[in-house]
Amino acid sequence: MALRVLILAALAVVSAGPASAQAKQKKELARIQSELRRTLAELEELKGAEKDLGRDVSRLKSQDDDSSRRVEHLQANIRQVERRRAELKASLESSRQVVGFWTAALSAETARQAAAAAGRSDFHGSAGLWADEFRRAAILEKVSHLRGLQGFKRKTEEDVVAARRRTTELSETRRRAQTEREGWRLEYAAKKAELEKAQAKIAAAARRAKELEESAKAMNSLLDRLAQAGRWRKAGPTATLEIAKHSLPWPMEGKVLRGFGREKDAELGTWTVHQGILIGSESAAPVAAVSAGRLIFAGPFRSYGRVVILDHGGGFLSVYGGLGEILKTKGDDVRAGETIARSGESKEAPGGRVYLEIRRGTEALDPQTWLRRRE
Amino acid sequence: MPDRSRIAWVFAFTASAAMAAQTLNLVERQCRRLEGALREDFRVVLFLHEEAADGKGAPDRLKILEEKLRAQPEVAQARYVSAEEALARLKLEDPELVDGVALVGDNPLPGSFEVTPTAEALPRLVAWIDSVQSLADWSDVRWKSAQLQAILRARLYGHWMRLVLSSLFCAASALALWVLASSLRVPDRRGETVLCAAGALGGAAGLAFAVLAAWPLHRDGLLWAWPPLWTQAAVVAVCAALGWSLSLWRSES
Repeated sequence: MALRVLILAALAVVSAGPASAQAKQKKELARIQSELRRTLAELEELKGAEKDLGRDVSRLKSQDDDSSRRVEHLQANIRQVERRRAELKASLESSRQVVGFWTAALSAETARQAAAAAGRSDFHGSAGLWADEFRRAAILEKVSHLRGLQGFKRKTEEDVVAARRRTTELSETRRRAQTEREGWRLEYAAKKAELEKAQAKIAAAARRAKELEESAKAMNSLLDRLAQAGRWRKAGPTATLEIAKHSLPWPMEGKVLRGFGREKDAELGTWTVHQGILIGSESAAPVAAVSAGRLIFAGPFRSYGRVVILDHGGGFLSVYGGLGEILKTKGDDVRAGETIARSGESKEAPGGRVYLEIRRGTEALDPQTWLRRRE
Repeated sequence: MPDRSRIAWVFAFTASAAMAAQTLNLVERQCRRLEGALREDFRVVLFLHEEAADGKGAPDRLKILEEKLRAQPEVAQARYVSAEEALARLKLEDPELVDGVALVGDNPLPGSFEVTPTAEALPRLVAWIDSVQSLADWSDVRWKSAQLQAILRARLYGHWMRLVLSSLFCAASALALWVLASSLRVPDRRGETVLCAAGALGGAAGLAFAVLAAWPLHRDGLLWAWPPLWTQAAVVAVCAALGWSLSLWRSES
């Protein structure tokens, strides 16, 4: 749309007359070039932002990889601890069995000792002293062994508890790491989407810059052609529009969808200067001339669709863009309020719409200043 | 020629006396045999701590300790028995015990000293054991107190038997000497040889009867000892002297 505005402004310059048109043309060209520079600067800014986003994305990707590695490491640790715990459990079970075996052996040995003592002669047989000592030493040895086993069993039980606690801690750490990783992933996805959006913006800005360049070239060409033809009526910078403000009829019924002047693009964050207003209406609604004049241009012009330019004299022009069917031809004189075309359609205004500019030479005027007030 | 009743009376009297003497003699022999057997088996075993029998310098320490024990006046014999030797001995005596008890596979026995006390030391054995406690750090000291008591009692009973027998023998000998001296002083007093023979026969019969009475004990007893022959001969002689003296006493009356 900014491109459209610029081109229509260029057309207005052309219509101002060959003498001053040269200066106005240069001025308009300078403005377009300025706009182009600004757009290029925005493009550079966007590229810088893209780089920043790229760095953020790389950083987040690296963090995500780190988190991923950490989670894997934790999972490996957990598996290791689980394996150790299983081993300890098996060892504990073995210890229990061995302790049970040795306890039974000790009980049996003690019983045998008691039986041997009961059946032993206390009156004869000193060789039995070694047997007694042997049994006693064997019992003590079993007791010692059993104590060792019980100590081992106790230690194993403690190790099992510690391993269980360690598993719980690691699981909790893994859960936190996974949550953190999920956060990184979400942030990464958001940043990546942002990056893609920025890249799309850059592409859009690049396209727009290209369009501006092409439009500047096209406008130069059109101005050259019109200047050579010398068909517009002269109007100096001092010319005045001899009508009262808020006296012109509206070209069609409808709501003003976009006003005159600067408007910030919410998506791109850039400012666009609108040289006219966009009026929404029903589809194929009749578009009337706001004042009497001669039609000096009618036909499609780039992305503006069908355009009609009326010369009202004194350097004043009215431009109607985005039209559907054009009912007049170039060179026709039209009256104020006479239907010159029907409204066209666009994505911005489903139904009918028309774009209206009022110019004094190269200067764009706010149409709502001259159109009648609405209740 | 004395009448039969006198001969029978002398026979019966000497047989009874010989049987009593033989019984006392047998009991004394059994006491002596029992004491000897128990004393021969009796040992005091002093067990060392495991670490005392191992390590550097242990053989020298054990040798010194063995010499110290031998130097004790109450010790008849002392020798060091290593753990391996004790285990080997146990395996010979009771292999099932070793296999069944030593599940761990190690030899749980410590080194030990096997001490045979002298016979005189036995009544004071507990005091002696207390005295040797200071020689080393023993892990255990083992002996059979019931066996010790049995030895001491057998010795006591044997001593009593010997005392009684000695008294009786002395009394019989004094009587025989008195009779002999009396007959020598009065030549016309002569004993009757028949009664003397009856006394000897009675003594022999008493001895035989006592032996027969003790025969089942001999058959079943592990610790049986026969009295020496000279005691048998002495009893027969004393009984003959009793018969002779009785014939004199009858003649005088």
